[in-house]
Amino acid sequence: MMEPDLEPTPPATIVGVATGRPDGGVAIVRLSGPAARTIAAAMLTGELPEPRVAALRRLVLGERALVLDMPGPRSFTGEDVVELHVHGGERNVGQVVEAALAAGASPAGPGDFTRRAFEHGRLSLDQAEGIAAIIGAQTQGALDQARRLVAGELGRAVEAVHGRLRLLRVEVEANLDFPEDVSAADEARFAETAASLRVELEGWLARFEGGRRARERARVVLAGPPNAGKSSLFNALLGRSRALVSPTAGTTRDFVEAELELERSVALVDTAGLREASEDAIELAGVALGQDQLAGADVVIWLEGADQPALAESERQRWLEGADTATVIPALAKADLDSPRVVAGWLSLSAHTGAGLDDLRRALADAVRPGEQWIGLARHRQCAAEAVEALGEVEAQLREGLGLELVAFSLAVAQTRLGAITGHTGLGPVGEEVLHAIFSSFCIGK
Amino acid sequence: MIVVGAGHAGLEAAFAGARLGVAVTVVTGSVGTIGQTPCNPSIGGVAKGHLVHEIHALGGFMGKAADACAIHGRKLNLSKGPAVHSTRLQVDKLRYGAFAQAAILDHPGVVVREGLVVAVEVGDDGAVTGVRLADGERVAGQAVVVTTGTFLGGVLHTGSTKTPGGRVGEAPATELSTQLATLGFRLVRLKTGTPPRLDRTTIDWGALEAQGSDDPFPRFCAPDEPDAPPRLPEAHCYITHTNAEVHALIRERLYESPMYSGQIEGVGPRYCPSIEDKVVRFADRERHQIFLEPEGLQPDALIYPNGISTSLPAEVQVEMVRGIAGLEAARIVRPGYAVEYDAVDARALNHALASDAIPGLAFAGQINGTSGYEEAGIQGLLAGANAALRLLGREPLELGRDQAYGGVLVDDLVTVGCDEPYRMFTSRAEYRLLLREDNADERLAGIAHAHGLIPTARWERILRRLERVAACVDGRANEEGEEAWIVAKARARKTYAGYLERQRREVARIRGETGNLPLPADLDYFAIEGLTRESAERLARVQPSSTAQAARIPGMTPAALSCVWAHARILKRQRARQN
Repeated sequence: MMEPDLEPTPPATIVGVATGRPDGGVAIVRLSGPAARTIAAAMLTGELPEPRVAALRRLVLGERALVLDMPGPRSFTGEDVVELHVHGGERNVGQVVEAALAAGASPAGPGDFTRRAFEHGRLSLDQAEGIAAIIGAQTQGALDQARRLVAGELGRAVEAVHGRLRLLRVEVEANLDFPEDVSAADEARFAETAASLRVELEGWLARFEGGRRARERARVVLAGPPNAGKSSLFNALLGRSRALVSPTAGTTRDFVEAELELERSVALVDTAGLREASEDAIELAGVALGQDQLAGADVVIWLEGADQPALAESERQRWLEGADTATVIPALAKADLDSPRVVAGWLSLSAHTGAGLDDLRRALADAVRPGEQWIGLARHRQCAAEAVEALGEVEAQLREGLGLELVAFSLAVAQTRLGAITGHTGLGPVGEEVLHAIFSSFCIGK
Repeated sequence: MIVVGAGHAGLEAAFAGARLGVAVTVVTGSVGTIGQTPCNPSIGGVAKGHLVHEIHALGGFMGKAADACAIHGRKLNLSKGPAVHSTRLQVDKLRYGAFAQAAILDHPGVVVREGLVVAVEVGDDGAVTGVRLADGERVAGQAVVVTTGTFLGGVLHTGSTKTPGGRVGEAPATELSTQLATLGFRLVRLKTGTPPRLDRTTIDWGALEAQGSDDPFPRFCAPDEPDAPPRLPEAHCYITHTNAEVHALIRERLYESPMYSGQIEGVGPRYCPSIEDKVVRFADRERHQIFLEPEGLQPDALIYPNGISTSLPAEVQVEMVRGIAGLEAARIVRPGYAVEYDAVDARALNHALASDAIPGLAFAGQINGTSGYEEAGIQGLLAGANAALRLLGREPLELGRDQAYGGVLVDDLVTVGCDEPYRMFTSRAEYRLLLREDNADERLAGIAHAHGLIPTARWERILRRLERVAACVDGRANEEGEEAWIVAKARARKTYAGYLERQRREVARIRGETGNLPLPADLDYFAIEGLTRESAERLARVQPSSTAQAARIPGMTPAALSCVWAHARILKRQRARQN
């Protein structure tokens, strides 16, 4: 007997404004679900146009709409989808949506269309994440990578590694269940395969940082003792007076941020001069803010005045402790003064004459160039890192001659983690696909 | 309680019922064939040895019988960890049958009678009332456990010769098969096979490589069991191989094999292919290994050539055998054959292996689609115990997938069913590191005692044993002062201690992700986008009640599963919205 709550009911048909804020010239109202076409038809005065051919129609409420009917499964969500391209404007678009709700649609929540696409197998999880990333992209780098995600590039790479992992698992399982039918386990070769898969995944992880840097705008932080000339340099690099400059040490209290175009655009941040001896509570708060900025820096321009006594190396190191992952470019400002201090390996700059600024720009451009990139996002990195860990365990188990049953366990863990990237988590240990592969690859039955 | 059949499932069912104090009647076609090992005369093997240890821990018969009749013993997978160490004993076929006969005939709580059951009798209230025999006689009972093996609609094939039968020389149970169908059980047609048997005096033993038993000789009974049976002398197995000429002959005469002529419709097991299958499917293999296994100690015991199961015509079998090294002059005493039989679709049963539709009716063994003595034995034990527990008004004995291979087996059968004969593999157990031979007592003896399947004295002895193991594990006892088998148990426990919790988390994770999402019984799989027709057909046939079950359907691809999973999530969200 059937449990009534398991009765398959058709999924709700949802309606939403696919173009976001409705104040543009045109807004697209999208219907998705089994009743999409019925609801659209009820909203129109004429017939639905031929599928996949846009046609102008008049809506019952008076507005005209360019109507596009995309029957499932060949649609974005995999369901029947109808799009109404109407004039923008909050009031106008609101009325069109109301009309759809009145005709039986439910309101779409954020991400609902993409979620349906995932649930219908139109998109894998990484592709769905790519769509969110396209929408959220703030930089060209982020946009390029998000497009590659949506195109399935990551998913294909995952499937390739997953396929090789599966072959290894099949050999191990065959050895466990049919020790008399298959030739003895070649532990050295198994370990080699696991290592090569691990190295491949580690390559992804190594390029993650490059990918992240390509996605995000690099933060370049100007830091150094008070009155070194950081704000003057900040203004000189921007080519305009953005930060307040004065001869008084400790002028900059808050940090000041501006966009600087190099090869790519970076965020240039001016901070308060770093010193501990101040009695001024506001200045101390500014120093603390500057240290926060250092902690989030990709590049630090460490600036001292050529007219100032050199800071002890240990003191400089202490200030830069929080910026341990950043590239530090040390420089001396005010190089236009008489008999300036010069330090080997440090840039000598003059905000006043512009001397050395091109060298600094080049050094900055080199420092923020992203290098090799992997398009995986943070969640994908986590999955891949866990798979790497599991594969490392496989190698250790094989090296130490631990049982193949443990190897099989850790391989299964690696498979699960890798599969989680695309959302196809696979079957776990009880896999008919593994058995099937065993029986088609090995002659079983002594 | 009536048990129909006295094979490995029937014996365990009868003994389990009797241990619980229920009056048991066993109806068998022939008292002389009680406890037969009609195919390979060996008990155990990878994953199967685990099952026998579980049967033994639950107070069953098979482990003790195998120990009493073993003439060759090996522990498989010793190069791996203890979780997959597996005991396999070859038994003296005649002695095993005699041992089983004596045990059941002498049992005070069991009545054995000969007869062919043609129908299960069902009363007006829909519950079982007994069975009807071919001679018209009725045997009354409130519980019936059907363990008919390959006898339901059995047909034997050798070349184009078809003989109705469950085994050579024994009549099939055709009427019962028809009657079960009318009671509403769906039948599936399965196939299995057996090799020809050889005259040992016609084999050139000197030309062959011998294989002895392992030392120490593996046993199912633990060394501290006072009633462990004495051992028989050992016999050797020998190894030979097929060759290119033999393969050529098989290929040439393939058209005469009922498997390939279309005469056999039943689905055979992929893990136990006939020699015809091996030659066709693995055409690049130059030779296949054959183990020559004596069926007993007596001078005229037959030789079981393990690896050349066949249904080719008898004269082709002769030619084939004589093409093999050491068998040039071998005489075939009985040709190999394939047997086709009906199995019931076990998805009609609950986890106690009983029918919900017909109270009191249960099935166990090959009739449920499994292959193997061990798979039959554990089912018989569970079905028999549950039939008795039901009569006593007590809680059923159901084992979880994390408690026993028996739990995995029953769960797979009743939730997924099978479209080929089902054999246990360690890879079917997601808790493989937990389900070991060495801890079957620890896992199951307490459950057995709580249900009344083992006496208190035995339970207390096992508790003392487990205490010795625990003392070794936590360092209270010195390993040097302890017996090797206790130390081995302690070491196995230590080996996996760090993994068991991780294993549990991993299984939970997989369950959570591919979901134990419910699937409605009448879901239209053909309407799910992205599912291939083949996958939709399998799903529609099996009608899994959850995605986890869908994942265990033979032949399901990851792509198909992700479609089903996605669909189940849609259904779940709809329900959430409706609530």
